[in-house]
Amino acid sequence: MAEIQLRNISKRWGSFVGVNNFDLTIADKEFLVLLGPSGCGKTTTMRMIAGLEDTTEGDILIGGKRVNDLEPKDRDIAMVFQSYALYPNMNVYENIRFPLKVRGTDPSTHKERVLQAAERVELLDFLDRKPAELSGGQRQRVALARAIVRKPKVFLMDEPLSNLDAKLRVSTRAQIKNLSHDLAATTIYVTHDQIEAMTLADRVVVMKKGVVQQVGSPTEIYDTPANTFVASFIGNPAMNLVDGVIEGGVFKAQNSVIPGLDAPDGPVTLGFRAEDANVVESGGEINAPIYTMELLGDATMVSVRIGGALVAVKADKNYRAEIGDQVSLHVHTDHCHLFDATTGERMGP
Amino acid sequence: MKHRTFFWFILPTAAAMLLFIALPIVSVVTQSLHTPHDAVLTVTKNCGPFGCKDTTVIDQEATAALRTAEPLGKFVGLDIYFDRGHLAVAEVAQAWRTSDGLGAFFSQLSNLPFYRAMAFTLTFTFTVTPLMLILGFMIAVAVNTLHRHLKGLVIFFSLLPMIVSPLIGSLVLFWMIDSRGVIGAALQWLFSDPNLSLKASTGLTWVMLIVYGVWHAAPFSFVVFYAGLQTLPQDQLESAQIDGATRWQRTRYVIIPHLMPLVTFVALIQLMDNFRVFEPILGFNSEAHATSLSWFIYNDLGGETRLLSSAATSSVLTILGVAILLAPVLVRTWRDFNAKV
Repeated sequence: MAEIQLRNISKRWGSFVGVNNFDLTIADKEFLVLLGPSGCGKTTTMRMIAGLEDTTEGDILIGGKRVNDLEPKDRDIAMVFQSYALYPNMNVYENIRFPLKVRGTDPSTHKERVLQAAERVELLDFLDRKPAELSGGQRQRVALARAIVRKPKVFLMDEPLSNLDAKLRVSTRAQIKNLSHDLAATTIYVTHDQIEAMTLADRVVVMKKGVVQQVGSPTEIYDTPANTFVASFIGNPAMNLVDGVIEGGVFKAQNSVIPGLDAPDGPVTLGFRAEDANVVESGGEINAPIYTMELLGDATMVSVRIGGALVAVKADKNYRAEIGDQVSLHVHTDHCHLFDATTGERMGP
Repeated sequence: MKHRTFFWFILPTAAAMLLFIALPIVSVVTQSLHTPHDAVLTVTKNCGPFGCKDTTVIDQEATAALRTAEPLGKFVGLDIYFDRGHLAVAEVAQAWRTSDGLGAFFSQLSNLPFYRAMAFTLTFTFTVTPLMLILGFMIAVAVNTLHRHLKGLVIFFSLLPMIVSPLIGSLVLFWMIDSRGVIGAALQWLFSDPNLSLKASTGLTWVMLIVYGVWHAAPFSFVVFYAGLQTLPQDQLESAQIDGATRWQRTRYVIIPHLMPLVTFVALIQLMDNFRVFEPILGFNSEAHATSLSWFIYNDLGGETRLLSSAATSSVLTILGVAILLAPVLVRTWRDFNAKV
């Protein structure tokens, strides 16, 4: 049982707030992703859980036991670092074996356990090599094997795929997902890549400037973002956000008139995703000249400018037009999101 | 780089090395194979009221003319290398034949000046080098954990022994261990022995010189290791911490391997530096109990009789000693280099 409870934890350096009042319970065997841009406090939160940073306030409980005052080695965790953090003087076998060796685990079991871990990440052919003789992907797999060899209660992964190329990132991501499922350990994964978050997580925590913005399943985060920050951070392309006003249930902005919205009159930010609108011959809610066209293969991305905002819509892959041509866009109002124009908070359900 | 470009690139350095390193060595080797000409003697017959007798006198003019004509002296091959003042081949063979055991053999050997100097030089080198490496590393680790406001001050005081000239430093310690000095008086009080003198005992003199050597050289290894610690990847240390490594295990498996190239560098420099130990012997006035190869050369060159050939021979033997001493380290570095290529 490795439920993790973060009870109002904060981290401050003088007047600078790294993490503010983070309160969350992570269920046993859950895969939680901390998502946010650089400097949002996600890595600091993970380091506090690992014991590499002290908390300024709040309690951390692992398996019901308060661990604030425990050394990292006594928290029964394993961590995978962005830089791999392999020991360059040791070969792959020794690297994987290291946690067993320093913890005084029965030496007769070392070989079997190391080989098991190496097999899981397909490293059996590289056991004699030094880290310098491995590719980035292989090094990251050594780091994974070193983390799983001891079978800890909690896995912490700090942007483990950031240093890999796009193709390798996809395969290693699948490997991590599979490992996490097989090992059934509680996993906390830090990333700034929303695709990693969406594909891996049971739950996602979106953070900004040390403050939690939203906690939810990937679907919840995607479908009902709590504010404009989450809406603009999740999804590729990001959600279209247009500033305008509601007058009698009709959203009005430059080149845009979108009726059928259930909201009180006043300034709002309207959001909709690229796939929740389409290009029509005429009579659409948005009518503007094309700003740019991008061919994606499976679709064509058509962008127009509304006020200061760039609005992107996915059209058919065969759709062709010239920049500057007038285009009419139909927006599905049942997929529109309304946000408070001042606070950016979500309005309504 | 093209061979031609490389040639012009390396030429100034190669020329300087030839001029300032190779030529002096060749000159010293040549000198070591020659000895000063003997004086030219002339026999004159002096006759007086009581008869005639032969008198042998030095022909000053002829001697001066000969020495001017052939300033290098006469060629004697390796004779100087094998004489009593150097390798003492005959004396060593005699000692080997007549000694009852190894202890007695080495005892006789220690009466020969070159071997006495060699014994102290090697003892000093192989004791001071590892001790200063260990002490320097310990100071570096300790300073690295200090609060940043304290670091500058502590680094300055830690470097003081290296800043002080070796002769001055050894003189300061020399007076401190004098029976009137703070250490000497304290030791006499501690052991309740008013006659206790560090300077009077060969063993204690050696210990004193070694302690001084470590004190003087440790700051160098400290400052190099401290710089190395600043490049230590924090991720590796933190990973080891999470893996369960204790402080000692982190030092052993992460910090020391990271600093190993620097250890090789410092060891190499200090082996050479300690092998030419000289100033402390003068500063401590300890020639009666401890002499080194460098002091041996200095002694030949000083005084009224300047024994150039003897000094040259000692120098060549010292160069050979340094080469033998550094060979394992150089071979290892070369192997590492080839392995990387």
